[in-house]
Amino acid sequence: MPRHVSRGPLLWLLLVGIAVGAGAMKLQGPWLDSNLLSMLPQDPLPANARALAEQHQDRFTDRTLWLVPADNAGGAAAHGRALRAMLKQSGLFSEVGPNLDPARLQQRYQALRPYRFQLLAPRDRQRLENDPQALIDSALARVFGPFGLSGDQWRDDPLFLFEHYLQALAPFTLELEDGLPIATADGRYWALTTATVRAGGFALDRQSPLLSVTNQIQQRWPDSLVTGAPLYTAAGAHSARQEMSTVGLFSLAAVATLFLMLFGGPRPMLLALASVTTGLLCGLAATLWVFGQIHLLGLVFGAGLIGVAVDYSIHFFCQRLDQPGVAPRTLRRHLAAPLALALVSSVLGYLAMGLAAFPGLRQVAVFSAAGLSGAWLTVMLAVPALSGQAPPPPRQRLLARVGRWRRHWPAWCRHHRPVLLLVAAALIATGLWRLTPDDDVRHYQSPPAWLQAQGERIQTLLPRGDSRYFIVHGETPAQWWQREHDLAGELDALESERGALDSYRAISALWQPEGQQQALRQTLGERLYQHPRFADYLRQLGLGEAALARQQQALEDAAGNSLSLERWLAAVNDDSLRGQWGGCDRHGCTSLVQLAGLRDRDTVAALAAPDRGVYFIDRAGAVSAVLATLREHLAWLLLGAYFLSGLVLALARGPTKALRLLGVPALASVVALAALGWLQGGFGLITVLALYLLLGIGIDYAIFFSQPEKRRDAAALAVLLSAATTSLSFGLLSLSATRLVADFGLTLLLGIVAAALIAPLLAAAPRPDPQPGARP
Amino acid sequence: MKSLIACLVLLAGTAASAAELTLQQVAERLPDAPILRADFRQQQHLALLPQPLTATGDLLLASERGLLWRVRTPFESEIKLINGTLYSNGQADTLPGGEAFARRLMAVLSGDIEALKPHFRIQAREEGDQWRLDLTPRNDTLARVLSGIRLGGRQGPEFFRLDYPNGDYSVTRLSNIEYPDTLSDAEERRFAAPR
Repeated sequence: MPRHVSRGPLLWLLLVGIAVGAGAMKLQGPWLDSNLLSMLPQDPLPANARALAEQHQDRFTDRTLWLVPADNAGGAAAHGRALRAMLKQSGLFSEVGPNLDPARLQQRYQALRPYRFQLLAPRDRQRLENDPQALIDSALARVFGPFGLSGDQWRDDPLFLFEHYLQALAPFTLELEDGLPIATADGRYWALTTATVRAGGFALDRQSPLLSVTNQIQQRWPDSLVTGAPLYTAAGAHSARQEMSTVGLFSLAAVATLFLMLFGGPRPMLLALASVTTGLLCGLAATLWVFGQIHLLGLVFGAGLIGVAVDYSIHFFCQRLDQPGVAPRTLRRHLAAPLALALVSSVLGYLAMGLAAFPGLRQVAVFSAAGLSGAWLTVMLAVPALSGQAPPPPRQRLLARVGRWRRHWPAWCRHHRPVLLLVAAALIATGLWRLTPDDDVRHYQSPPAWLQAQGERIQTLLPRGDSRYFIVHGETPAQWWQREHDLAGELDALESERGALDSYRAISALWQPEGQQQALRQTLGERLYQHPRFADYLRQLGLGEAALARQQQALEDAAGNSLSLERWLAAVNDDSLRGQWGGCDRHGCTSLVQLAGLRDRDTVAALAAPDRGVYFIDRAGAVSAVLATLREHLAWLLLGAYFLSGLVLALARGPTKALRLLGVPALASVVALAALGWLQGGFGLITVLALYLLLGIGIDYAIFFSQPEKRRDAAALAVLLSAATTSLSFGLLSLSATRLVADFGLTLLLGIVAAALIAPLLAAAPRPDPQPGARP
Repeated sequence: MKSLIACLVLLAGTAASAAELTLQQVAERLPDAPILRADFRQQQHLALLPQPLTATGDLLLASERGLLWRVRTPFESEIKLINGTLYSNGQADTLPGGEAFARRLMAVLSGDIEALKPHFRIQAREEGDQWRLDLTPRNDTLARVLSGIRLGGRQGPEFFRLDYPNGDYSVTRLSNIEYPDTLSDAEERRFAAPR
């Protein structure tokens, strides 16, 4: 090759430069997204409601919860402090707490006391309407009950209404020891700590430190418990990353070894690696550029793409092996058309996947399309010019042997056609029949057993929360309140009549608009303070006339006192209630209703009425359903992808040849699915994704085999090499402990072997031949 | 000199412990019974009132089941504490001080020293033929509403006194104490139907 600098490699360098630059610009931020939920479509929510929902979601996705036990509260608090020190020291957490002031409840009491006639617990509000005397009777029972009575509070609150209200504000108050909340269970004391993983804590480099801090803490306190989404994500990402890097490295190593052995010298190997790396870089850069982030799923798929991207190089060097006398540039010209066809048909297939309304899949589509194009461009632009002048090692015997296989294998099949067809049809039919859909989201994450066990134990120690909730939206503050209040009424009914849930927490149950606060004070005066039984009650308890006058005066004095929602939230000073209020802006007002102990999800979910601003949010629970829809969606799009690829192939080669070419991936997919059925794999979203990869790989194989006869031996070698490297790496994946990854690997392993065996069968025979046997 | 002081401290220590009972000794006197049935007379001394508030009635405490507290005078009323939920006069009601406080109270009534130890500093002593326990809350949250508890008796607790930070206090005395092995059918029904 003359020493002049050709344009191809320069263009290629430019491409790599752009990809690196674009990728690097985007890699500054949190670029890896491993939250399964984020690949799902967003719930349809009004603009300002979404912010509230996301903020609430973040409490789940960023927060970890730790419990450390001791035989007494003091010991637990001491351990809790030490644990917090370790968490802070790790630098992984932005917030470690909570530190609660024991005077907090006292302060709340003082702040709300002037408004005690306007604030009633929901149950007392009902009784005031229906049966005010019952309030007096239950106060009497309380006075003479076992709990005793302290005069100070009684004087202000003779009927214990304010006590009830404060209790309703804080139904599950954990006791404090040295500022740390302490839960008691089974005679042990558990100090509670929550720690929020620092923003962007999901970046790849933070995952393992989180697990190692957890490990240190669990070694120091073997009985301590931890839970939280970041740990699940970290553990999931950890194993996924390990598996992906194993597969990625193994694929690369296999490619490198084969290239070194077959093509002689490091140059072909380095060029193949350059092509694959360029592909991955382009895929990553394009995805980051378009989406800002890349989902773990995209990376998983990306690692799988190595096997496809290397095909172009393999093909080039196999041709070179076969025709050592032909200049690389001429080879490129020969290969340009089939490789371009292979590229365009696969890329169209992947882009079809991007039509699905799921952000995660769009990423996969963009990653694959850009990645394959990058690898292809490398082979077209740089590889021929850089492949050097040294003649390839003589591999005529190998080529001859492969050529024999290529000719004998179809002949053998033709010879035994009736038997083979029968056996294959039977095996495939039963296999497909055994295949069952599997969209269980748990198979997508297999958390370590210890983490799962600790999470379950924690649920028994702490008041149960629920990840599902309602969002309530109204265009005006009044409309919002009324809507939430109505929802609360319906929840009350479900709670008491059907036991559909244990409890809920809604702002409107604890705070009423200022006008209603005044009305309530008035009702309280009319129905209770002027009730003859109230005077009797005070008199009989010995409080005397003065007390009655004082109570009535206090009630009068409170006229005009009322609390706006903001001031009420400030007075209550409770983080979780504050987190339920989304505020008002020009779009309207939003709040969140928390649920606890949800037993009958569907009944509760049926209260949602988006036309009345009431949304039921159940992201995690909906995942399985969404995955099923997604799988169906993708399966249809896969047909679309076949159609698009078929169209391209038909335009290039005519309809009959296009059918033969498409037959390779199609038959390979059917064989893979049937084999999966026999091996009792599940047919899920990831299987369909694997079929997309198989479409690209199968078309490559088919196109290689459909070249002029003189190049077919090299093509057969290329296909066998490609099949060997890719099936090796996917074979490794099929050993994964995560069902999802294993299914993905298994489908591809089976599919690739099938495609390699089917491709020579469907290749148009060199001599005109009667139509090949009946095909399904 | 140092050793002399040490001796004195040691002597003082032994002298003090001679006048006191150990918790272990008190625990040994407590009857090991799952059920307590008794009449009570409760007097609440509030600075607010010229006269103490006096109530009489009967109570039934069954560990694992809950507490039934029936007032006969001056007004009839009934409080049931079952599974951490309070029912007053048959209606679900707010539990003053939350579930934790209710558990402490049941531990006091049954003289469950082991359950009380983590929450209170406990001093034991002897007064006549009775044991006495003085309980001071260890925990800030509780100390803000309750400054101390005293209880005592010959065998099981026969009285308990709750002291509040503002100086108010209440004393409840038990009489006709029984420790039956099982609940009567009527009592079972009272536990079974809170409402």
